[in-house]
Amino acid sequence: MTREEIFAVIKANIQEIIPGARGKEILESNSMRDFGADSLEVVEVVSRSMKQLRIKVPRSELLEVRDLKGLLDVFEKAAAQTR
Amino acid sequence: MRLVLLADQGQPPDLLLMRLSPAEREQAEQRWPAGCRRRQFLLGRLAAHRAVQRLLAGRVPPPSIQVLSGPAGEPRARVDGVEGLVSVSLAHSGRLALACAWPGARCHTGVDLERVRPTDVAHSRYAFSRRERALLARAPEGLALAGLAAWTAKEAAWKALWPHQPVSPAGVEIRALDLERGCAVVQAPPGRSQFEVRLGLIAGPDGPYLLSIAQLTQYAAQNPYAGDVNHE
Repeated sequence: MTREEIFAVIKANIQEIIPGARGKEILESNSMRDFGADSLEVVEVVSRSMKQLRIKVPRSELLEVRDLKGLLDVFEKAAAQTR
Repeated sequence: MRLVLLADQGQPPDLLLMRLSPAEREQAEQRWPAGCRRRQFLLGRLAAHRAVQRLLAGRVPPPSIQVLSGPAGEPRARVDGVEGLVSVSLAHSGRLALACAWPGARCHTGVDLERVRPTDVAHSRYAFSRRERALLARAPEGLALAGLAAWTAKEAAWKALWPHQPVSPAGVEIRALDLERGCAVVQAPPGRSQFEVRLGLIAGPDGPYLLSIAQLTQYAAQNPYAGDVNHE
């Protein structure tokens, strides 16, 4: 799974779960808070994306994620390990 | 400490904006030029104004109060242009906003509010540790409501940790949860600060809402949800 494929899954979930992100360009440098996500929506995006990507990420790593780039980094690493 | 719960009565956003100071209006325009988040932002600011007014017992006219967002989005109250006399915590969800004001600059209290809605947050390995998920599984109120209540408790405690917060509310830990008594205990690293959280389930204009107020200090309010619901 490529980084682009992982980001496509995350972006689709952001567009679906966070009302403020609909129709907006989503970049790696963004944070979900940039689109007005509340904390519960952030949890839903992260959890749903992990489920769809069928990856397991150590919670300690997720707790340090500050933006989409950080989320992509840990997801990409987890996807590589599950290959 | 004063709590205010404010309901959105569907007023045009311009009417809500008019009650804010020019600096607050500018922040609102920059951050939320349109959409439902704009209404929630404005309602939250107005609830915070009301809480500060009540804390000061009307000694300060409303135009002297400002609640601006700090660099990380944290609310910062100013009275007559002076920051640090009063602190606020606020939350908004759906059609309600909740604000809490207390004297002084020290942050020791946080509030959160969530409209009760279908969510599987209780199953999230990101939101809750294994120990927390086991705690939620034992809640007689059911996993969905317990999960949402636990998340509001975590977020309220997380806000009270400002400016020494973990990256996410997920980084603090629920140690006890009793929805029937409306209370929870939350612990936060690295100092292992402990918070007592009061939880409440109330009827809002569009369904039930969960409220939480977390306090680090021993003077936790006996009835923190005694603040008025103002229908404006």
